[in-house]
Amino acid sequence: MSAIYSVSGKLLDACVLAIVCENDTYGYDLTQKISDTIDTSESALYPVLRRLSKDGYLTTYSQEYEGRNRKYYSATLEGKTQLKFLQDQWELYQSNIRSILYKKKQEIKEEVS
Amino acid sequence: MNTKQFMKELKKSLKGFPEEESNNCLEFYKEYFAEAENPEEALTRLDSPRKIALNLMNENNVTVPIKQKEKLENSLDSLPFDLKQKESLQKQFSLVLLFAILYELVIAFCHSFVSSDFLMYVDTGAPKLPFYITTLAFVISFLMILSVKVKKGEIAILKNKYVVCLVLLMTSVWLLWHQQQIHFHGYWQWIWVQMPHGTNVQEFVQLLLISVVDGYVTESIYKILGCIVLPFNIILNVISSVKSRIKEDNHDESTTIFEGT
Repeated sequence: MSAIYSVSGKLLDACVLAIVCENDTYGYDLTQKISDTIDTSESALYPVLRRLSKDGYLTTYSQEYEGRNRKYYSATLEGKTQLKFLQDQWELYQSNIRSILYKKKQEIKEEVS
Repeated sequence: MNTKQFMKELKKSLKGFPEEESNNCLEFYKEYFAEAENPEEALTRLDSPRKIALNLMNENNVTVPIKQKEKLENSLDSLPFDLKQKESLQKQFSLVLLFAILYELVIAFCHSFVSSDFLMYVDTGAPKLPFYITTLAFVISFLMILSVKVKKGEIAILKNKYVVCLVLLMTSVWLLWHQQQIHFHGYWQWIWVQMPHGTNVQEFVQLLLISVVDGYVTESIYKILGCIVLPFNIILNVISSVKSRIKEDNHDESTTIFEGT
């Protein structure tokens, strides 16, 4: 998927946390889920996972799959709390942006059409 | 690049990273390729190994030795060779040659002062003016090479890049002619003629040392090197400017597309 708005930093952290909070997941699966929705490089996700693990928001465990170990990421309680915080912040940010972008939406729509 | 080469390159790029960081990252990408249905296709969706290492270092505040940090920061993966490394090599080479030229210039002036032959060589009768011009052209051109500035990892030759190329080209041609006219019939022949008369190795070595001190051999070396390094510099500078031009064009194109949407 390609988009003109890029997702990075805390927003990408929030997206990764949201996916992991929903279900424990492994690296490749997570990169596919993210890149199906957001236009970001797949290699941008490893530093995010590493950072979230270091900050204590994610933990990892290994599970055998087809004769090899798969590393799963799981959200900790701190991770879920952080996701809640990031969601609240995003809603606030979104409403602020919306207040600027759609102030004169109707007028512009009429003008363009 | 295939996945094997990618992993090898990644390992190299993670050199100097804390062991835990490096192992974790390698493990992640190893698993990534193992999970992908088509690993070679999955590889195309990834950044270059160097960029991955650089992002990891910057985003996660990983402490990395300065040398490795600079290497990663200066890397330009889209280019077949590292321009900054090349530029540094070019500068070092130019500096060595510049010193050799200045050395010879001082020696030549001293000789001329002692023997009062400012205008021509006493032994061959050849005019000395070409020597002065060539030497000065050399000094100027090397100073110009040294003034090359680096911007965002790319070589951005100062406004006078065409002048630099022209001076280098003219100097090379001039040099080849000068080499032919004076050099081979002068110094080399002089050494060559002396050699058969030399009775032993010790005498020849002494002779060689004297000629080095006198600037004969030094001059020969820098002129021969100059014949190689100057055209080489011209080619590299032209490649650099063409590459940056292409890059600028691509950038303009993408900006236009963005504006178009």
